[in-house]
Amino acid sequence: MSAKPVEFVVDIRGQICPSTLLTALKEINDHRDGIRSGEVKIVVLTTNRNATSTIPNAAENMGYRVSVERENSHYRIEIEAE
Amino acid sequence: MDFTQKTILAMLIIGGLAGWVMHRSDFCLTGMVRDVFLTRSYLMLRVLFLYVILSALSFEVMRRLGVSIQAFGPPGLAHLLGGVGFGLGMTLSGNCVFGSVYRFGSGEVTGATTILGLVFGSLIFFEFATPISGALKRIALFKAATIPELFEVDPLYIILPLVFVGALLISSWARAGKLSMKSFISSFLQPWKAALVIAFLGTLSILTFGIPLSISTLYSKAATQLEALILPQHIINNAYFTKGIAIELPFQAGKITIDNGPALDTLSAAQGSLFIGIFFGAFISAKVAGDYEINFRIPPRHYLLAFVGGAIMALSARIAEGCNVWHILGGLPYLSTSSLLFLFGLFTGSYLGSRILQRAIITTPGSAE
Repeated sequence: MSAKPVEFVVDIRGQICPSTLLTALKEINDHRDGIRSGEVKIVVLTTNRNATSTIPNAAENMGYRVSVERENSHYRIEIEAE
Repeated sequence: MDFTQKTILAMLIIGGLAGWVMHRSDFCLTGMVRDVFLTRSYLMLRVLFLYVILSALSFEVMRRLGVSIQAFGPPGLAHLLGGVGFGLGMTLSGNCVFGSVYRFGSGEVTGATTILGLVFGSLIFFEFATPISGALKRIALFKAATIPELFEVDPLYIILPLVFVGALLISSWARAGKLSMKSFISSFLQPWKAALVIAFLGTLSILTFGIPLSISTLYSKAATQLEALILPQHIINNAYFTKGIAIELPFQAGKITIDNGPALDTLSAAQGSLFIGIFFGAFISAKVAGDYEINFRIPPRHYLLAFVGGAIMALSARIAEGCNVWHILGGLPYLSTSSLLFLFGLFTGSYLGSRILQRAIITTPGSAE
């Protein structure tokens, strides 16, 4: 049975518009090996509605599994290995 | 109801609908230009093209029916340089003159910060930049105010081929799925649908008030009133504040008054109503969607970027005789040459801003849990 991945939380709620996508992409790239091996899961917390499309689409194109949920009044985007 | 009262009511409704759809789709005019450089995304540019084609057709139909439309002036160096400055400012702040309002309405504090920057930038313009701006505006590049005037043809000879080619392009994009993005939340509105609504609202704005959607002069008026309160002598001594115009609108049976001084005019009444409408439209949309959230705890440099970007936008809009909303949503469908020049500057400024942003904002540390 595989271990539960460590969640790496990136809280970028309220930040200026392009910060969300750029920061998320940087974190995905920085943790590429960990995500692919199933050891790390990136969790992005954002209030930016556009990011609920741009980040998942970019991450899916990279071959990751993505889920988006509303958590209280912001969005929680989880990016992990397929 | 007189003309001003009708205008206020119409702009409140137009603003409310615009605020709702802009929030639902995150209809970001800043991202349309910026994301070409930052993420190589062209989706919003295609959406803008859809808007321009639809609005060009509706503007031409209105013109032929005798609807009074506020004309755009001939192009000058001021439009190009103003466009560069505006592109830089909006990319740094992450908001434009519309984006700041609908994001403020949905709880984003950087939207409110950009609005403060826009008012501050207008103050700086009055104090230091009116002579430079005046000199730039005297450097005209050519006399033709529109593309049809440039080629000395009836606008229909430009509009009809444009609409025909545009329709072919748009239908091919639609078939290839290049007008939509995969959505992960149910309340998300595809930006192309928002473009249809905003094109309709822009047409309504002209039918009622003779002017395409715009808002930046409101920030200028707020700054003038602030200056009249704290530095009244500066208002008296500056010739800029004594200027004003009145535009008769035979079709709409009214008159637009534009006064550079602190006195309220019909333009600021219309733009103020639009501002209030957009704010509450976005506020209600965010509350209904369940994603209204205020976050003050963001890195200080984000406040700085939002404020400074807003100030640069206001300065640039005064120089370019209009903001991005005025030139893109109003000027491009009108085939205005000054707006095309502004757009060229906007891309240049946005490219510069994108380079600065990439260094300035990707610093948020994550945390392992």
